Amino acid sequence: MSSDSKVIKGKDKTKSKAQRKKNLQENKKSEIKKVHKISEKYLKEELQVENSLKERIQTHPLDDDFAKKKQSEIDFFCDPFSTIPLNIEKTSDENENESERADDMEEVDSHKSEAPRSSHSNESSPNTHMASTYIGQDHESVVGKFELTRITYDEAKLLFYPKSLKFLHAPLNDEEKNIKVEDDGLFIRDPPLLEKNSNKFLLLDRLHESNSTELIDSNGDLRNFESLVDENVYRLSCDRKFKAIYVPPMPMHFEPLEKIINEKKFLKILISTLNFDQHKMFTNEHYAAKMVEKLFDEYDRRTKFDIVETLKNKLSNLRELKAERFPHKLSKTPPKNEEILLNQQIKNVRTKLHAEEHYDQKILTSLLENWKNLKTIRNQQNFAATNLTLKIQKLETDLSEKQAERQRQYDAELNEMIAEEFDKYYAAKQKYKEMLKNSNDPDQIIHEEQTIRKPKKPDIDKIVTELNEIYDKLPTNDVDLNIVLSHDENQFKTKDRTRKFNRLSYRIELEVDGEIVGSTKLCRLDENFRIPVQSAFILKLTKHLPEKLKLIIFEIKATTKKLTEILLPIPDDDETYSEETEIQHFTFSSKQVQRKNSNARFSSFRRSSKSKLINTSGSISIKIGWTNSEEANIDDLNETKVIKKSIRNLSQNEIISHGVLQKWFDQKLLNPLDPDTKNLAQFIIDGDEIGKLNESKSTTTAKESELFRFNEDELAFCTKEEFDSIERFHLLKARYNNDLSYKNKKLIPQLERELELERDKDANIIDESLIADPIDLQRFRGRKYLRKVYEIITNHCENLNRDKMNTNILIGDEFPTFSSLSLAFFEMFGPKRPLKPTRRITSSRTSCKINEVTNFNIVVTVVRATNVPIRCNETQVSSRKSSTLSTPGTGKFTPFKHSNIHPHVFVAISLKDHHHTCRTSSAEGTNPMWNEQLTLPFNINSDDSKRCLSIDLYDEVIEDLIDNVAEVYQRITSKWLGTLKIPVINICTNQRIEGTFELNIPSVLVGYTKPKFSPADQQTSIAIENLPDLSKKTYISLFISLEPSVEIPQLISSGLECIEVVHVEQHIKIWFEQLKLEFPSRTQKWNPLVTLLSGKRCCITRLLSPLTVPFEKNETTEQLIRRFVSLIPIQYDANTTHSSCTGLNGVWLSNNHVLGLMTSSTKDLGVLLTCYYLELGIPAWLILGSSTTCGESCFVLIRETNEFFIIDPSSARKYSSKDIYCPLTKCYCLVNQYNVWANIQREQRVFLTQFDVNRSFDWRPMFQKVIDIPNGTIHDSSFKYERSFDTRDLQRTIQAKIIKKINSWRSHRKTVWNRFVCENLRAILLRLEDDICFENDNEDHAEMLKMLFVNHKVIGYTINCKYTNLSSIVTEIKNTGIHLNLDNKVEFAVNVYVKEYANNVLSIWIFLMSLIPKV
Amino acid sequence: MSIENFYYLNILGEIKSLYFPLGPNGNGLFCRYDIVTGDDWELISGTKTGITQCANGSRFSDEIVFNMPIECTFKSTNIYGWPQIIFSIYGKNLWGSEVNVGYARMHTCFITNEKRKTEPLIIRAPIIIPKATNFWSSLINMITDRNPELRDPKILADGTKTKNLFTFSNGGEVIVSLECIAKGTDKLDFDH
Repeated sequence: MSSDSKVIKGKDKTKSKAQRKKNLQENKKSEIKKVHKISEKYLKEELQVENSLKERIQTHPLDDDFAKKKQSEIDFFCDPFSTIPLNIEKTSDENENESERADDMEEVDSHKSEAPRSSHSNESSPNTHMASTYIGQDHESVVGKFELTRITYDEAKLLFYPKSLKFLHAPLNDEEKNIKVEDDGLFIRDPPLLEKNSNKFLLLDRLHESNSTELIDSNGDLRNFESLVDENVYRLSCDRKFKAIYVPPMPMHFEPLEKIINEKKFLKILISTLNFDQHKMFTNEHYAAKMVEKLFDEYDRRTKFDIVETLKNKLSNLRELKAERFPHKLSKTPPKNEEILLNQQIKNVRTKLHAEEHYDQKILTSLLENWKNLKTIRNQQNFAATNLTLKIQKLETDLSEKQAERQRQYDAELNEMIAEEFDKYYAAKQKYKEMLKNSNDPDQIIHEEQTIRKPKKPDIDKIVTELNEIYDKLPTNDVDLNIVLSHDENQFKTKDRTRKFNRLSYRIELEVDGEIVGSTKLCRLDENFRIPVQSAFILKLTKHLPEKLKLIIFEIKATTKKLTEILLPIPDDDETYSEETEIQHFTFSSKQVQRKNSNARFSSFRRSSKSKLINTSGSISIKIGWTNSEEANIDDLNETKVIKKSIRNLSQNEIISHGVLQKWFDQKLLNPLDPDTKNLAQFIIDGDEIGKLNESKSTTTAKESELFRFNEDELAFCTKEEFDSIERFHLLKARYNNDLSYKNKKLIPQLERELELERDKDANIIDESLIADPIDLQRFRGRKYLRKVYEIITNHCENLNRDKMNTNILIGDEFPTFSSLSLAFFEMFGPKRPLKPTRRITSSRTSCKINEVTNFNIVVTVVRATNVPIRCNETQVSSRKSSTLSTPGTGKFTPFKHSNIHPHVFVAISLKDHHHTCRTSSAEGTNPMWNEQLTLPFNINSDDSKRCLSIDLYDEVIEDLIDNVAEVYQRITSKWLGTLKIPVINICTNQRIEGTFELNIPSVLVGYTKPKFSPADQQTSIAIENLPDLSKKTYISLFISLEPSVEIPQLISSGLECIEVVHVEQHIKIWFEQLKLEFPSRTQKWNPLVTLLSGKRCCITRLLSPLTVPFEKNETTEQLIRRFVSLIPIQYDANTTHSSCTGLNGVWLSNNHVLGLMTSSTKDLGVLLTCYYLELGIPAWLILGSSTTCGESCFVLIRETNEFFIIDPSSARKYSSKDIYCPLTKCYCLVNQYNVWANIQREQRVFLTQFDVNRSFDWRPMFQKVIDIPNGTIHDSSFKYERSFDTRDLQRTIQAKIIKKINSWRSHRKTVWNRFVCENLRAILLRLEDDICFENDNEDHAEMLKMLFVNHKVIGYTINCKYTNLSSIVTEIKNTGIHLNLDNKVEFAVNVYVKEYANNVLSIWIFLMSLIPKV
Repeated sequence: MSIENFYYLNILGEIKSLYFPLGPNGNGLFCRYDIVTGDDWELISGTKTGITQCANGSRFSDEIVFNMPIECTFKSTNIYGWPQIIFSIYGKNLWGSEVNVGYARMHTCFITNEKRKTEPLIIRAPIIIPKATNFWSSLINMITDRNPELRDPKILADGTKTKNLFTFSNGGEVIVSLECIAKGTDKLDFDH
């Protein structure tokens, strides 16, 4: 049977309707049979079971699991809807269940006898409408005959509609409410927490609907709610596949995009018309017409304002006032003050009225006259060139009334005048009387009698005649004229002039600060010599306000001719552009004088027989004002048209943002009456209404959604706030805007967590707490600050110049010159691939930008050295050696006698830390020649670039080691002799450096002496006259170049603000431009307007002024200041920003910066030293020039007793101006605090340059007059020098560091430090600072040391340097190679002495020594 | 923190030919290409620039065929600055000297879609020629038969800078076939 039913089910699904019907009929009978088999008894029992089960749930409210089980039990047993077929299957199961739960059945058994209905009423509440109860009630229907019926449901009834989401939370009645179970001591479980209570409320709501309140407890909550909650989440499966429907996004609310506050300014200029008052093509008729026009304008203006009428009104008002206040007339009492005032006013107004009336009359008559004149001209020439017509209409007026009014006026005035005269008379009389009373003294009376006569009574007749005279002149006003000026096209009767007009057109260009930003279209001149231009310019100003706004009018006939320029005023901030903005008229007149010859044909009409010279002049009407960007977008007339057109074409589905619509609506582009735009306009209007309604707190959600129109804001990815909060976009934006810290950032990561923010990076690299020493810290901060300032200024300048860089995009677009033309023709006809091509020397070498290349080669050609120190101690040693060993060559030949004295010198070049070192082969003698080329690779981005290229001179000593007598080993050791440092930055900027440099030979060099040329030497060495110099100094000739050659960007500071007065600035610029034309090569590198640290520019003379010296003034001060300045550290950074800022075009520092930061460039040292010299009263000049050692830099020129000296501020050396070894190679100009002199001498070489600035053909001064010179210095003249910090710590640190480093370098060997020698060295060091300062001879120290260490082979030397940081000292020591001593018995000694000057200027002295005991 | 999340873009293709409907302005044409990318792009393999051989069309309006392969791989973090190829075309003019014939610019294609699985995308980039800004130089250029040259053709990639550069086109085209393969875009949520 069960299988049967299954079959039916299966068929139901698959078979068609007809088949199904048949099946149903077949099965009917069998089914009825089945149903009959279920006994009524069984059903009754089932009901009972169910009820009892239900009861149990209620009796065990506390047991969760139990309740759950029971619930499922009920579900199982009493599934009312699947009863009929299923129950049959389940019968057997049920028996089992019953047996299983025997205890349960016991309860059931007790009620078995009772009828299901009675049990129902007893056990459960009477109102329950469980589905099972119905089954129990109507057995018949359940078991009834199966009939095929169509059941129709009212869908509305089937579906449950919540009345509202508000559930009935209130308790059922008050009594129950008061019962609190908790108070009775019963445990009440807390209701389970649900995430959403809405389902619960829905259930409650439904229960209330169906009036089944038994599940609702007294608190209005669900009874046994816990038992109904199921923790599990069920997933419903559904066969139906859902199709996705697109629902357009609905806005939750209408919020227009926030107004973006735009800081940019928009200046709008509307040029409406151009009007010519005078033009070369004017005929007499035109003049007449212009005159008529002008007069009519005046007339029109006057009639519009109606001055006469207003004055009349005013007069009558005043009269009324007078009549009101002072009704009694002609009283003999003198009038009060107020009355006098009033009278006076009336009189004034009256006279003014007369004047105005008169003027009116005059204008009217002249207008009419001119019109008459014009007409006669027209008649005479039989055509009209102008289309002007004046229509004069006579208005009908009542003459008698007019005359009556005139009479009234006349009377009133007469009365007034008489009254006035009488007032005057009374006043005078009173005065006279008083006078007589007061002056009793007869003499005085007599005396005064002459001056004060008795006043006469006024003569009324005279007044009348006076008034009549006035009135005769006045217009009678008999006729009222209505004059209308019109331009009537019909006036033209001829065509001959119009042709010419067509050819004349005009164009107006707008120029802002010398740059043309826009131009109007070509506009034709019309017959009235008026051009309706009607075009608007909108200037977007981002950086600064323009200085000059200029309109240039061009006249275009066959060629374009500049007619005139009009300067426009820049409006104030509050002058915004709107409809009401006043139209301003600017008159202009061309400077070109044009011969008026165009009307030669009409000579008979000329007013004067001679042809006149006229200027073209006229006026232009312009509206100017500030706008904001939104208005700027759509304001132009053309644009409005475009928008209107686009609105028309707008389809319904197109996307328009709400904001745009609103804007259009506000600008009245959307007409609600226009069918095309009706919808849009309606939308906005409704939107507004909604807004208002929303304000009044009425809910209009439904309405809003109906009115929805697609808003493009909805398509935005995210809101602006959200966008702004993203760090990555900030970074991208900053990079786009050339923000300094992110400017050259590459590969900004996609994920935010990988972002490396600049502030994090800063924190990582710089840990200032690691730097313990305050001196170090100061220097470190100074370097960092200076670097930052340099970067900021460079970036600022770059941004300023960015727009200007774009001008030169095209090659071959230049205006052709003769040379380029000839070259082009030569190219055209020249041989294509000549066999012997002529080499074309390009002025600039092909070079690349510095940021494109990172790896360079420094190529150093070492030519020769002179005056290399000679070994002094070695002779005895080697002679002894040579005696024991038969070394070939020594001793046998006299020419080699001195070979041991002569050093075998080689040169090594290195960058930092000896990573890359190159050396030459060794050459013998004190004046060795190498001619070798060394190549050193370096990377500009690495740390090396901050350093100097150090060129060290070594002596290669071959020592013989005697081992067991039989075998001889030779050991080569190199001894350091001296060094030369050339900053890498200098090589980068100069590309090639060639010259003879002075080597830094240590002041104490044990074992070597300066060469002395004795006659004995002369035999062996090269002929003495070939040697360049016999001074004590050692020189080396080098040629250094960089490969590949690069282009270093210059700091273009022309965009920066200048603090000088405008005319001074202009003067300086003109002077410099002139100089540039004459000496292009000398003026590339410097500018008389220098950039300061504040990012502003000033005249270079401001850099110089006397500054207080940190020493007492005596004869040695000069040497001390040189020494002091040379000890200030110089920062060498080879990156481009730095190099462009350290040059002469770069950033200049003031004294407090140099001394405060303890970092500078060489040019700043020059400035400081010059200032000190000026303080000492020594005539000093600053030389802007170029030197071999530090590139572009400043030197100091001083004059001492008619001799000039050049001082290198970075080395404190003083050279005579005629010294050929002076490192200064070029001298561009001289500066002192009063003037600048540019070098205009033909001689380039410095040692041949004349330094007398008074020679006008050698030096060209910038300021001729004294007044122009900008005074006031940028330096802080009140700068206080501070005492240096305690240097003992630093001294100890340096010494410890050196010991540590040497130990670590000699890690393979034991390093022994000789403490005794260390202490002894100090005494020498202490004296050395003074020696070097005052240039004493220090030969005795070496001698003393030689005596001290007789039993040792000693290598020893002093190193003196300015203090920048520890690592630079370490590098320097490493370069000397003292640690490379391989002898087992070697001992080392070191001592450090720090000499401090004011403000932490330090001089470091280090004595290094290695001692090897002699056997 | 070092960056780990990149995506890679491999561009593979060839410069097929030049096509001038009105005939080329010179003969012996050759073409230089430069691939220009934004700041967030880094070349990891291949070359960014190259130069083709000289080629002539056999007949007047024939395509001038180069078949020059292009292959390079970038890694990047940003889709902004998508690689663009700039072509500078040179050829011999009337007087026999090598002059610029025009420029063309195109974006490299976006990641290949399903439709073109078999054959690569063909892109035709129009050739533009800069115009002299003043009358005299244009006259001279007409006589000498040379066009003004861009100092740095790479500025073509930046549309804002060439705004005032009056260029005109003679209808010529550079025909390039390109294919792109991207890797790692899903990691960075770039679902194409």
